Amino acid sequence: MISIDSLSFDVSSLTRHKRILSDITLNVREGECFGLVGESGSGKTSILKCLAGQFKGWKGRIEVKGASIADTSLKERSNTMQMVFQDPYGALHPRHTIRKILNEPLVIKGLSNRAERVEKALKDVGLDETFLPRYPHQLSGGQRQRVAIARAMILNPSVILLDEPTSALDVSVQAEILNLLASLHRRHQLTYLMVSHDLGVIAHLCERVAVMKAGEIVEVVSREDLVEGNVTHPYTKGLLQHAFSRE
Amino acid sequence: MKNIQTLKNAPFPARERHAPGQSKGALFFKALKKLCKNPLSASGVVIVGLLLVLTIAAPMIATHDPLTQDLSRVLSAPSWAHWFGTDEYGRDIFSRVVYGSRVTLYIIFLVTIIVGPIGLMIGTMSGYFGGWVDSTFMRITDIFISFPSLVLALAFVAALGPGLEHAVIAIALTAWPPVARLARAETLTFRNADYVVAAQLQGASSFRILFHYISVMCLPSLIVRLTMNMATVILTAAALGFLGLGAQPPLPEWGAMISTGRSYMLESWWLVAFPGAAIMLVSLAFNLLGDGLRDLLDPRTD
Amino acid sequence: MNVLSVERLNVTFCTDEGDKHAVRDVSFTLNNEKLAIVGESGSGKSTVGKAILRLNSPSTRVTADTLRFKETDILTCSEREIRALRGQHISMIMQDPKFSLNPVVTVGDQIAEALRVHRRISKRQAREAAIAMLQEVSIADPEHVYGQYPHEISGGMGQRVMIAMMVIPEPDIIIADEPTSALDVSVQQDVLNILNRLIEKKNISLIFISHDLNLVKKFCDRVLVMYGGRVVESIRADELSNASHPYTRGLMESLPSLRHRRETLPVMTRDPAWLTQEPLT
Repeated sequence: MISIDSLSFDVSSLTRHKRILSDITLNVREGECFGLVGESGSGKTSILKCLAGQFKGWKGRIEVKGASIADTSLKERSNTMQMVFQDPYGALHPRHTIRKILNEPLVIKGLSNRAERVEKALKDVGLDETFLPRYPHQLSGGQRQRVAIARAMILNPSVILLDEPTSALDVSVQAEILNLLASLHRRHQLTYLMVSHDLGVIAHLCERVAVMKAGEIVEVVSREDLVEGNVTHPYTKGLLQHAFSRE
Repeated sequence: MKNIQTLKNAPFPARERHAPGQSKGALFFKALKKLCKNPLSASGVVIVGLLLVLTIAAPMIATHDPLTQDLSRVLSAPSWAHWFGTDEYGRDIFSRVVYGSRVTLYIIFLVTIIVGPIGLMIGTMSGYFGGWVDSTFMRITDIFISFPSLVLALAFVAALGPGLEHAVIAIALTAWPPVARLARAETLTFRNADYVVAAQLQGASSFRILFHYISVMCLPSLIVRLTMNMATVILTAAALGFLGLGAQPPLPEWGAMISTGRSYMLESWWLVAFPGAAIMLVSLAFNLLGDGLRDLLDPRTD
Repeated sequence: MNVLSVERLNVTFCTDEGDKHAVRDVSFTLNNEKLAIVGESGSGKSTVGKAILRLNSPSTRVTADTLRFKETDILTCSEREIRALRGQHISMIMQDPKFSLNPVVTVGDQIAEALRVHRRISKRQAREAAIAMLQEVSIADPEHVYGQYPHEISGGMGQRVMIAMMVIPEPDIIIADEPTSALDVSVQQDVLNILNRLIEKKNISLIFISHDLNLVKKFCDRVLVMYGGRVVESIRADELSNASHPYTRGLMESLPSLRHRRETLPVMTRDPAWLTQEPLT
């Protein structure tokens, strides 16, 4: 579904030259939930930003559903791929009502039956239509993240990019959102590419995980291997040991 | 659906600042109430409100016709018949000041509706697109900013000829660059926000993002800036009037009134004092109102 | 003798939209120990920390039957006394070193300054003490780091500098408000180890404010669990796994676990009665 082939990305300014991603190759199968785990600065979010078209000037080849990203516009990709962001406060426009936030993608696409679709999308994420006239600041963090997920789902995409979707939330709310993401994954046969720094969260949701360090993928492991400790790279071992010691 | 249950049972509903059903009018009055909490901005609101009343009801408030000359009562001091005295043609100064508010408000209104959209458009476009669009727009802005505004306005009026409309255009010409700069700075802080990225991912056009997403966020600080700007506009308009390049006689314009009254200033102080006080009061009021609006609208002071 | 005693502490934020009762009847005592205050966002845990140092904004109403540090009544003492208390006797480590270090002063000078405010010593002595302190927080090249500015050092290093700065006047209590949540997991453990070593060496009591039950379970002696501005349970840290309050249990269980993966995570149903019950001990 997503195939990334030798992706590299450099940032250079007048004074210095920095390699953000180097030679990333990975394949996400259809219907899979794939995780990217690593510490800050490891480049995990940068991969999402390349996919989402926020970074320009990367080298290599990225394909989503068989179409190269370099050859298609964001608008063409919007039916295939959507994104959920880390910060539920910044992801929703503060001066748009929930109705407008969910309506926008439908208006842009010129779709009909908007009111019904909006209500259905809200119901899908466990909110009812009383939320429609409200503004984001009147919602709790978890409710906001639900709206953000509804917005990503409303165009029925097949791929969803998840950028630390629960790290800004309280643990009890995190559990609700993780459950919601898992149930949407089952019901709609979605493909997830999820970024997180939390191995527990990644292992809960994802079947395979790529461990990243300093802009490179050091290892791709399955959930079973991760849980049983069958990892080879010392960096992964360290991360895993740390995660186990916390439980 | 266990999730839905949890949400409904949650003991802490999201903090509701204003209930969703509240009408725009109710919100307006709530904002006005908040604005009036600070005595300084409250006085700004009152004076600007009075100015509006004065403008609308000028014929009812004025005691005389502002244009009627009465040569038998030339340069008479303030009295019961003429509250602010009369000028060199025997016209009632109080009535002229009252009618002058119409001219002043007319200028402010026109300048603001020209400057606001232009500044917003240029600023948001250069902030959002960056690159050569930004460079081009900002260099043009720099050129306009690098002229002293009054001199630029003077040159413009001199080229077009004196008159109220030309004065408005000249003032607008000098007033938009700071607004554009502000809109650009605001845009830079929003253009990489997640909600803008989300809109891009949905395939929203640049125009849609600028209009529906970014402009909305720039508006509060822009309104504050424009309100503060009104004080400068009043002063520039008065200066142009004073120099004889703004409103033309016999139109009662405050700056022009001071200008003509200047020759009689030593023996008849009321000719300049009352229009001068009006200018000062109104520009002060707009500044205070701007300060109050900033406290009210600026999300950073929240 | 308790180092700090708090009895029925109440904090109310007075805003235009009405009063918000953020902390209700919180009571605890602190001896020479590591006490954790745990709760979700909005539970009032940080507000308690701030109230102890009287750092709340002026529009906040703080009341308590007792709020005493040793002999000093924190609520009624003068502005001068509270300033003397801050830093010298009670200091605070904030969440993100990026915002709590002065960006235009080198980190070494900031540590030295923290010492010179409270002790009458020469600049050279302060410098030497600061370098020794940097060494104590496991910074490999203290002389070099001394002359660096906050933006030149990493987050983990910044938090070590913060710890050095807070420990160097040898206070009696350190309040650490989520000191590691802005750091990467591998760095977190180092920072906690350093903090632990220093407070044990210098005999400092710790109030550790956190949302992370797993971390607190390992690191602290005693835990206060806060919910909706109240302490719902006070429990020894090593007994957390057998906590009796449903909220505490809910918090523990809702974390995704590597070892025992569940298809669906348990979700808490919040009981309004939690807001009125007496805390469990």
